[in-house]
This record gives sequence, C-alpha cells and structure tokens, in this order.
Amino acid sequence: MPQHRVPLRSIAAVCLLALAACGDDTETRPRPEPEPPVEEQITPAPGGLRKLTAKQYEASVRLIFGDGVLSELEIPQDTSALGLDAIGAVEHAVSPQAVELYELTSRRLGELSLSDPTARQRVMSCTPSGVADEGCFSQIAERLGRLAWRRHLETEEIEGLVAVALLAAAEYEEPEQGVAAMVSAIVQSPDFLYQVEIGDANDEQPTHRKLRPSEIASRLSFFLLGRTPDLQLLDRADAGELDDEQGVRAVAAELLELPEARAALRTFYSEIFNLRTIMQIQKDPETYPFFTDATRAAIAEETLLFLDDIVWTRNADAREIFDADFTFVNQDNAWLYGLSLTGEAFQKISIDGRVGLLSKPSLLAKLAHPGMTSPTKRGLFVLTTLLCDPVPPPPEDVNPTFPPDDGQPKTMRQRLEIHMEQDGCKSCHAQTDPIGLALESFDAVGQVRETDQGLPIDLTGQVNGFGEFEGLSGVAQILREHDDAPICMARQLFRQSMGHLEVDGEEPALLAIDEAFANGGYSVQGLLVEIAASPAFRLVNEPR
Amino acid sequence: MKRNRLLELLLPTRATNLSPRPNVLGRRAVLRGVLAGGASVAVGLPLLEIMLSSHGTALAGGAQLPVRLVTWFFGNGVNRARWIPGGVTTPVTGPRYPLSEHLSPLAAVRDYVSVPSYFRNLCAQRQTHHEGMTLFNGYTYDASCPNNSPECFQGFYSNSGGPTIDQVAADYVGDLTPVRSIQLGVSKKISGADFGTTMHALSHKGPTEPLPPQRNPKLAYYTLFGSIPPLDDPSKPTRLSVLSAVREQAKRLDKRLGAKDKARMEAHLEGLSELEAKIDTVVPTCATPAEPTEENLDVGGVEPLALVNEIMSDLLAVAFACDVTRVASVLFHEGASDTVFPGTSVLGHHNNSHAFTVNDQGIEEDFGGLAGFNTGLTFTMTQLGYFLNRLMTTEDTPTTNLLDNAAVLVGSDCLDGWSHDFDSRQSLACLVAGRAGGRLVHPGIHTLQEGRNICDVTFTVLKAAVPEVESIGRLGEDPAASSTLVSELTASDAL
Repeated sequence: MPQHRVPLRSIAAVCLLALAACGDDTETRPRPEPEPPVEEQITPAPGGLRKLTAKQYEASVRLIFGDGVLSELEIPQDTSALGLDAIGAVEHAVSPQAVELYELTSRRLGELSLSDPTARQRVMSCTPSGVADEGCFSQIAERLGRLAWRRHLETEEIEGLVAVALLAAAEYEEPEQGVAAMVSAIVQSPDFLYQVEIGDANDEQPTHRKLRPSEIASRLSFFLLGRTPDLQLLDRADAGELDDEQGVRAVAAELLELPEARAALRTFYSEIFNLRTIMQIQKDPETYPFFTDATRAAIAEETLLFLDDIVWTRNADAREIFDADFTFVNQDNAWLYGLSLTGEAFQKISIDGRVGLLSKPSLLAKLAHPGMTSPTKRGLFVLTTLLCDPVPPPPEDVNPTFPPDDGQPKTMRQRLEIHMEQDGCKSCHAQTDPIGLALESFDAVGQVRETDQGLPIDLTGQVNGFGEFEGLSGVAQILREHDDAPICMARQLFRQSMGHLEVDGEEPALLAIDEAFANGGYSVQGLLVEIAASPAFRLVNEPR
Repeated sequence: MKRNRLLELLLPTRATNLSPRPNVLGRRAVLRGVLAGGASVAVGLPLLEIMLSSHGTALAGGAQLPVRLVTWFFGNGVNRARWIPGGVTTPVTGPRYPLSEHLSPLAAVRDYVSVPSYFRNLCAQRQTHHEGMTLFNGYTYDASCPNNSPECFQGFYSNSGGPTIDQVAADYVGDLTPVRSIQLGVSKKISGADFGTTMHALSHKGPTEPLPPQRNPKLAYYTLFGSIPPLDDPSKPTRLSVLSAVREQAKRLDKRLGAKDKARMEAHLEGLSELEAKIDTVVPTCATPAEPTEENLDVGGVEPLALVNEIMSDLLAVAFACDVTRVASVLFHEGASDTVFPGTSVLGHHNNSHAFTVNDQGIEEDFGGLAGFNTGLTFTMTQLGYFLNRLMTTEDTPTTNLLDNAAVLVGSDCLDGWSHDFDSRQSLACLVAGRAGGRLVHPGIHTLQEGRNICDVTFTVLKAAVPEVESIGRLGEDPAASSTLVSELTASDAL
C-alpha cells in the first residue's frame, strides 16, 4: 500500500529531519549527520510532454484571444489516469477524434481572430496589405507564436507559418485569411497543445536536468494559474528570474495574487471533490422533489465558496476544511438547512452540528444513491480522497450474500452489517462503512434527519488506524488531527502540479514540502509556493 | 438510402478509374485519381449499383461487399434467469430459440441475433469488471503502473491489454472510407472503479491509446458528416497546408523526446493523417441527416439516454449506408457506473445488480434491486434493439439491408452482475448480431458451450468482417487470445 506507507513514513522522517519540531528527547539524542541539500538527495521524475487539460486549454486561449472566443470552443474531453486528468495528460495519447476537435476549434479561433474585436486586436499587430505581405505575416507569427508556444520562435518556424499564410491568402484571395490560417496552425501545433518539460542535458548529473526558462515559466503558470504564461512571465524567465529557488518562490507568491490562481484551485477542487459533475447527480424525484438543477448548481458553488474562504479570504489553516462550522447559502440551497432565503447572493452562516467538507450537501448527495444514502461511498471518499489511502478491490473469492429480507424496515447499518462481518467483504467494508455510517444523520441530499426508516440511527463507530468516533463531529475531529490528512492535501496538489504519482526518488522533497506546510500553519497558499519552489518541481530526469 | 438517386452523379471516367484495383474498393485512392486526372466533380461515396454485380451481392470485380463491424457494450451483466433462452435449468439451443424476458426487446431482429452462452472469459487477471473488457480485444488487461511503481491505486488501475477488434478491423478497412472508425457513447456516468482506461473506452489502439467515446450527438455528427470541405473550396488546401505545418512542428519537437512521448506523438500524428485523408476526400453526396441539436445534457439530473441512443443509432445507420465509415463502437453505459435507467430511481443500475442473487437453479433472491435491475436491462436491450432494427430497416443494396452486411459484437463485463462472476464459470453476457454478408449464421442460434474461450466468439465476429485476420491477442502467451472460429456461428451463405 504505497499510498498509505509514504505518508506514514513521511511523518517519521519529518521528525528525524526536524527534531526540534517533535518536542521531545532532543537533548538525549545524538545530533544527526548534517543532511545534504534536498536537491542532492532526490532523483527527479522524468521530464516530457504534458497535454494541456481541457481547462488549461480554455484558460490559455482566453489569455491569448480574450473572452469572446470562449463560447466557440469544442475542446476534447480529458482522459483521467490514477484519479487525475493531469496524469492522463501524461500517460495517454491524444485520440483521432480529439485531434479533429482541436482542428475545428483552431479554425474557429482563426476566424474569430478576424471577427471578434478583442481577439482581432490581440492577434493583428499589423494588417496585411496584400495576399503576399510577408512582413506582416511574419510579425504576427513571431508575436503570437511567442505567447502561444511559450518561447521565441526559430526563423524556420516563422517561415513555416508564413508559408501557411501565403497559401491561404492566395487561395481565398483575401489577405486576412492568411492570418486566420496561421492562428489555426499555431494553436493546433504540439508546441501549444503540450507543455514541454524536458530541459537540457546535464553532463555532470544526467538525472538532474534544469528546465529551460520558458519551461519552468510554463510549469509554474499552468500549476498556479491553470493557463499558459503571459508575456511578462516569459520575459522574467528569460531574464533569469526563475533560475533558482529564491526566484521561483518570489514569482510564485506574486502569481498567487492573480485571480486565475483562485480559478485554478477551484478547478482542482472541482475535480477531486467531484463538483464538476454536480449536474449529473440523479435523485429520486418522489423522495427529493426540491432537488432541482438550481440546487445542484448552488451546492457546488457553496462548497467552492467554503474552500475559497479558507484558502484565499482568510489564508487559514487548511485543516479547517474538516471542521469549520460555516457555510454559504442562497435561495437555492437554503432549504437543505431548513432555512428560507431569497436572492441568488450567497450569505455566510454558521450552523450547529454541520462542520467541514463532509457536511456539504454537494458531497453528501454525490456520495449517495438516488434514493438512499451510501455509507460505503462516503467512507471510501474519506479514506481515498481525504487520507490518500485507497481501498483495494473486492477479493477474487468474494461471494456476496445478503441478510434475508423479512419485510421489516431496517436501518442502513442493519443492511450493511453483513458486509462488515463476512470474511470476503469485511477487509474493505469494515474500513469504509463505519465512517460512512457516522454520517447517517444526513440523507441522500444532505438534509439532517433524525431517523432512518423510522428507526433511531446509531452514529458510533470504530476503524483500525482511524479511531473511534460518533457522528460527523467525531469523524471531523479525527480528520482534523490525523497525521495523514495534511500530507494527503500536499500529495494531491503535488500530483496535480507534476502530472504523476509521487515516485521514491522524490521522497526527500516531499518530506520537505510536508514539513514546510506544517511549519507554515497549514496554509494552502504557502503549500502552493513550497511545491513550486521544490527541486522536484524545478528539475527533471531524462525524458520519459 | 436509395442508391439509384446517386447514379446520375457517376461519370464514366470514375468507373474506368476503378478497374485497376478490382479487389479493393480503394475509395480514397480512387477519388484522388479522379482529382489528379483533372476532373472536378462531386461524386457519391456510397456504393453505386453500376459497381455491383448483377445480383447486387458483390462488387463487379468479384470482391465481397463491405462488412461493417460494430462493438456495443453495456455494463454490469445480466440476470441469468431472465437472459438465457429457455432458462437456466432448461436452456433451449439452436435457431429460432425462445426469447427470454431480457431478450424479448430483440424480437424483431431475433433471426439476426445469436446468443453464445457460458463461454469462459480467460483473461489471466481479475479485478471486478475490468476483466470483462477482454471480450472486445482478446487480451488480458495491462495492470502495470506508470513510473514502475510497485502498485497503483491498489489494483483498480488498468489499461487495455491491446487493440480492440474494431481498431484491428480499422487497420484493414479504415482507409477505404473518409472516417477510419468512430467511437460513440450514451451514458455519461463514469465507473468509479477504474483509475485507468480499460472500462472508460470501449475502443483502444493500445494500452495507453484509449479512444474515448463521443457522447455528444452534435459532435458525433461533426465527425461523421461535418468536417469534409466541399470540393474546390479554398478551405481544403488551406487546412491541408496548416496540418502539414503542424506535422513539421511535431517533427522538430520529436527530436527532444523520450521513447514514451515519441510514441504519444506518433499517435497524435496518426490522428493528423486520418484528418488529412478525410479533408482530402470528397463530400458524401448521399442524403446526410440534419445536424442534431441534442448535446446530451442532463435536465434535473436525468440523462436523455433513449434520445441520445436513437440519434447515435440513426447517425451510424446513415454513415454506414453512405460508406462514411465501416467501423464503430458504442459504449452504451460503463460497468460499475452510476447510470440510472428510466423507471428506476432509488438505486443506480450497478447497485441494483448487486442487490439480488441468482443460483444455478435459476432461483432469484431479492435484496431490493431485482425489479430495478430487470427494468434497466429491458431498457438496455430495447435501446440495442432500436440500433439493430435501424440497421435492419436501412437498405444497403437493392437486395440487402445494413444488418445483412454487418458483424456486431454485443457484450457486458460479466454474466451475473450480482457476483462479478467470481465463480467457477467466469462467463460473460454476449450476443452476436448481423449476417456479415453471409459469413455469420442466419437465422441466429443459441449455442451453449461451457468453458470454451469466449474470445473465440470475438475472433469469429472480427473475421466475419475482415477475413484476412488470423488471430487476436498474444497467441501462446495469453490464454485470452484466439485463432479459432466458433463454427456454429459461421456460415457461407450467398445473400
């Protein structure tokens, strides 16, 4: 179970690295040998290509062409691997259907570069005077290419684009069609569609290749802002500002001031907390007639506002995610709390007994069946997503049997008891189900309930390695104090930033990130900077 | 599709151009020849009567009519007691088998449908649902982890072990049509039990080359009918020149890449090649359907499953009739996903599948999911029936319909959804539909062959569509591989 072992090892190692932080026995233990810098301890993961995710593509063309193009995009859907689109973008090849949609969208962007005022202004740094105006075509290729390909273009590359423009202008007998064709070529090119993170050969230490300035600028921008770097950042990288840890740290902190930083983190949370598929949550209309599309949209926004408040508004301790007692309500989700409100504006309120992420209707509804709760889904989410401790698949010899249906009403606990006791099932269900059963005071859309099938609900439970608890507050308390919880937050963001599951060679860097996260009071903003400044982020091994 | 309407578009020069290649209808090559010869006229893509033999059963040169290959998937298996013709204890085999409850929606097409029962899935690994996808490729899935990690997500990560049969077929016939192959999907609900792609894409070119299904009918329409520019339109040379420039950029980048990314870039370039060939072809002149407005968005959390299935089925039927493509896969809904079928609203189909049991005597025991599961399966088979019926009622040649000239492999990821088939039988629910131009048995039969490699069925379907294929999977290395026809399913009829 590497995903479990790494965090636990992490804790032990953090203590060794920072004895003072452990607060005991510092005087009696021998001083450890001075550690070499983390950079020398690690073996970075291989560099290579990362396809832009759909969200990164969208945010990048928005930066380049402006808001007017957003409704015209047909971006291929991402393929996820190991739970993240960012990893699928490294592992999988682009399909022919995707290539075709990239082409369609690129042609639309070409047309919009002529017709949409903002896009036109950004693209047409000159107006071609005729179908053979190589000078103007060349200028546009050079400028747009620099932004879209995140680097300076070579002469041959500019010539290639101009050739495209000349052919198109002649075919259409219309100079500006030459520009449209170049735009299409630029945004279809792998130089736009893939982040390039390869660096240059390092003869002294082949495993430690330094990313090129434009490459580190791109990695930083896609991670922190979710989009391609702007010209200013590319220039700063060229000027050497991202050449060392201090530089990256300083620039990362600046980038977090931009609104796109919030948007990028929203995208991340929407993915790992399943908020982006909120409109697909199906509920039994007879049991939950008020669970409308407006409610679906509101509960996703509620959850994102809750996270925004912790991370950005107050830059608070990230562990508040588990136990903060506030939420955001408007006319569309207030009824889930027994409240009645008017207006679309969200208000921040506190509600007794509803603490943390696990009390949010978005998660409680997603982690349920259409007409009943699912303690298994809820418990699985806690272990897998919040503690990075995935639960194995059912064993091969599992032979599910169920309690006889005697026609009597049963609580969910009574229905699931057999799962937690039977040999084949209990190895997993004895971990997941008790945690989920502690949340049985919330129904399948996240409303508080006192009974299940008219019967009283037992909210107590115990799971080895997790603890004893009662109800949501008990689970929240354990998560708040769980050693693996902040480490899991760091791992999830690290995977998102790098496009791969952490590898053994990166462990010293991961431990340093964990330590810094703890020392920084568990600030997510601080964590983002620490990941970006880490040598694991700034260096790559030979390309995969 | 009335082919004779298209005859007027055929010029004698075109027929002449066909003659050097009597065995293969090299459509794209033919059209290029026409263009190179200086003729500039729109020609119809569908098979034209003048190109057929006097019986309309084969090309004038003696070659077989094209056979379309389709794979069609539904998740979470069946209820054996209501699936097997004649029932679990008294199965009835042979032609004109009795329609079971779950198969009854296929009544209109029964003679085109065979039911192979109790064949065995020999996938060498098992991890619930994933192994079932072996039915579509003959490979044990690939569970190796990226970066040589010892384990990833504790066994829920897997990728396809090799190319699926639709992609094998496309390697043979894909370049004869504007669209090499198409992948479609209906339900948008995704399995939470696959951190790789085995179950998320019914079509794969290889382990890390999933071909995700297009679930938006509007975009499916674009791929099939919307992206070919008219002849003499300036967009045609422009787009080709743009793609050529993109290709040059890819080559520049390639020099810096490692082996894995080189392979990914190669796949990307294959996609560009497919697109180039398509742009370089000629707009189909057969009557294309109207562009759908449906985009497969949910209202009130309810998926428009039947509507999307019907539109996708209609698009496919026209695409086959126009010979826009000959290869398709349809991922109706994923195994272990939360798809909720009409008439069921308390549990999703996957959970319903686990909330009852069926034993070898066909006795059911209900734990709350039985009625919902049966409703869901009847709905699913009704949707399959719509598709097959659409093929059967679409004329292909004056004497045959599309189902006469199609080979369709329908399957699920298990036989008994409730147990994941972790029993000694390890079977899968599957059906074979279509006559494949006379190569598949008609009327369809029920054949019960307990323990036999189920991928023999897969191979039989593929070979019916592409006779040149000699095997699927890694023969001698992987028990799932096959090079053996199921003789009961084959025929050599003259249609």
